[in-house]
Amino acid sequence: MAERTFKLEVVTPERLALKEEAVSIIVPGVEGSIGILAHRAPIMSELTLGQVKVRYKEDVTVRYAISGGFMEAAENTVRILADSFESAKEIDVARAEAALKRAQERLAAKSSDIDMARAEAALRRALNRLRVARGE
Amino acid sequence: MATMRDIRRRIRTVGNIQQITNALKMVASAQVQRAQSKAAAARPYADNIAAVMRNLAAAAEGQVEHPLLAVREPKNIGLLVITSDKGMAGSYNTNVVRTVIDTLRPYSKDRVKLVMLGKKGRLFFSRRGYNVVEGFSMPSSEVTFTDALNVSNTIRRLFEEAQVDVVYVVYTKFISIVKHLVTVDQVLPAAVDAGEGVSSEEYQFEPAPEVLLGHLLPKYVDTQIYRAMVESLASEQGARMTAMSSATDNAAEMIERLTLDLNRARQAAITKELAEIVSGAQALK
Repeated sequence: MAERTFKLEVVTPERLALKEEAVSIIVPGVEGSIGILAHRAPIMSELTLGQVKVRYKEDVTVRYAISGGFMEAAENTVRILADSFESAKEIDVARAEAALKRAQERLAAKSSDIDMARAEAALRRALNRLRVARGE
Repeated sequence: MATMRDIRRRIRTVGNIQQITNALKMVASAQVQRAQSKAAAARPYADNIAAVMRNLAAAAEGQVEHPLLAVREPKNIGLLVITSDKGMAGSYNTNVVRTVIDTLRPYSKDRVKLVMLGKKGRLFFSRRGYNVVEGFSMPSSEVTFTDALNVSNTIRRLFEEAQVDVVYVVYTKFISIVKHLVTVDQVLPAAVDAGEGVSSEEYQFEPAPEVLLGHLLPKYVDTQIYRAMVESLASEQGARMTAMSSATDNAAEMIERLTLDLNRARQAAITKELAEIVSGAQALK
């Protein structure tokens, strides 16, 4: 029997990132990871920085880096409003490494509190991207 | 009557101007395409976030208290005005400025705070004694979401500190390359209508709906501002393309007319010279 699928739609402020049929998806919710299959009961959740794993038909699993956002699942459609969303292939490793280095330097320099918080967030985002790109 | 030398000089000048307007036209028409697809790409997110907000508001059943939703008596009003940094865009900036003046007519200047995006509008209003609290430059080739975030942070802060009680954005909506519409939209307090298009399903929420809505609201405002910026940029490029295209056409027409004048002047000079020679020869007989 064919696997049951649902519609998956991922949008970022700058583009429509993904519109596909998927079999399952695992997203990083703020209160823990959430796995979703077809016809899930309606849920709305805030997402945090992390990885999204999507399994498509034909048993293909793709990992994406997400830096937070919201998810709504209803009527067999999963909608993700992501702050940023890239697949392992789309990630610019050189840029992420540069961002990582910059953030580390800034943290080492220890300036004002706001800068520290921003540098820390940048550090987390860069690490997350690199992790996804390397398939860890 | 203008001498031939004067006319030649004018032809050269107009030709030089034509080269510039033509180059600007080419640049604008290349950029308008990109700006237009960017405006289209921003639409799904904006539509989706609005839909999610409606569902959430319905689920929370008006039990939400959030600084960005606070409805106060509109004593002080804030206006975000989007113009361009560069000119050469026909009536693009003028139209925005005129709309702002019309909108502000019922308010005295000391009750108005302006946040300006784009140099043209900023200069206009600060020279006329308006209170411009913050001025940003408008990106001329591409708007990123980070640009919008900077603007949005300022606006949200003004509203949360109750420096203004209501915020509107004045921007130019992109309808087609030749058709733009100056639009005034209310941004804050955020209007969340729970009424229409709500699916009645029982949602599970993580975290609670009030918390979710609180986190989603600032993003909703950011998105609105981003969208206004993207649309404005597309309109700006469209306006520039149209203006520069007609300027190039006008220059061509002018060159044609001047060339005609030049030929006429040359003909007259030749005729005059001939007459002089003939009459000179006659006098010798």
